Amino acid sequence: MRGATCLGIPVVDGTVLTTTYATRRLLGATPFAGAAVTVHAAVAADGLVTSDDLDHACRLQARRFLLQSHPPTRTWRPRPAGLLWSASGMLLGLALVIASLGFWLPSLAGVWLLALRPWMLVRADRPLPPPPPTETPSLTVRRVTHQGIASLREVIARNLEDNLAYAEAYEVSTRLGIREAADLYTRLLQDPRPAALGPDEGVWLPDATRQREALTADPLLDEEVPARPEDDPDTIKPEILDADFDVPDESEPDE
Amino acid sequence: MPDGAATFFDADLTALDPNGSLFRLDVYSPYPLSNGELSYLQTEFEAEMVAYARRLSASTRSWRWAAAIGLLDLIVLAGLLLFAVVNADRSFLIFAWAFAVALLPGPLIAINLFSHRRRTARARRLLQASFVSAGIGQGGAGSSYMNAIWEAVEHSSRDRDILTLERLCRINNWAAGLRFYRSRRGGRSRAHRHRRPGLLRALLGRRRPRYASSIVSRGL
Repeated sequence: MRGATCLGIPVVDGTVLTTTYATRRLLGATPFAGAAVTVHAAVAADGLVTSDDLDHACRLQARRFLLQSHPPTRTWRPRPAGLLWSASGMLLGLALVIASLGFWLPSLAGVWLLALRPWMLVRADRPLPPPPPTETPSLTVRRVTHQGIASLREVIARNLEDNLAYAEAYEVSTRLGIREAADLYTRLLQDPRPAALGPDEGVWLPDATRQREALTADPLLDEEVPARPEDDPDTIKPEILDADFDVPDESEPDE
Repeated sequence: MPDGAATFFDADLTALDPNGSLFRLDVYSPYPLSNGELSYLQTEFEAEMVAYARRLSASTRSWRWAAAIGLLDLIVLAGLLLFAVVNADRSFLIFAWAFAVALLPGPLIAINLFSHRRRTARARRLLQASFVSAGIGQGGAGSSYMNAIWEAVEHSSRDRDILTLERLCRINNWAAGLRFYRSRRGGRSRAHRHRRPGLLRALLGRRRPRYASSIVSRGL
């Protein structure tokens, strides 16, 4: 069972759900099949993100980084000293075979050094197979509250200007040691559109309450539109109606 | 920290062994922590632990093959030296140094891998280890160390430089804190050092402790 963490970092009018850097490393080292992962979605305790959205975004992010996982690379590369040792052994083996002069012991040692030992070294150089998975693959999302994220939400909420909010939130996230938030706010200070973030940077979730407000607050549906004063013919100023327009007479020839 | 606070991990990765049970991370903090912060810390530690175990298990080879090669190398070396000594033609003795150079590293490598076989087996078990949810450390030595140093810091009118904090840890006999401040004073975290173990240390099977890197926040 692996424990991953996603952060619901507050932005203006929404939340960006991003995985922590440690989670990316952890999921990158976890095989896609055979891993039971619990994703802790750390958000502010204000309920602005619906559980369904959070669950969906967390699963997307976790699968994204699980798919990027790679099998263990071979870090045991032949070192120069090892190659020199192996080559010198083969050379000595050849010399022993040639110079054995019919003695069976040096010729046997020569065969060992020349052929048998290199073959065994190649066999020994194979990495040990990874331990077999013991868990049923699964992905579970659990919502948890994060005090630092709540502080960032307050900062974002009390600033009206986007850039000001992101600048202050950057400072707070640095102070709190949330590197992911600091990097996200740096990115948003350059381009304040959370929808334009790359898939690795996070998933933008607009605030549920604001979405609802946007849907229900259509003035054409719910509210009576006040008439504009310029639309009423009685309010049109008479001097505009009485205005004279000088139209040049085009029939007169030029002098 | 002089300019804020840091979270560091006291668990030595080379000594961790799940042994069929679950791990639990106890977090000692002077302030209450939310579940999100606890899971953040746990993921940090788990990622480092898995990376360490994966690196170790991928870079280590079977000690059985190495032992077979080392044993055969030793037998061949002994046979060749015996042959050179007992043979009437002593010209073979001139090449005794070449026999040693070609055949002695095998047994030494085998001893090295054999001495590290437990560490490798532990690392493979770590890959399958699981955690229960991290919790707040209650009582015990960790709590008392933490409270002692924070009380000293809050009641101290002097500047909080690293040396003062290190001295506080020494007074309180807090080895983990002492190690952390030493590593910060050294300019880099000791957890990130990738030094190859010395030959003697490797032959004797001594392990160098490894710790997960710390998380630093600034300006409390």
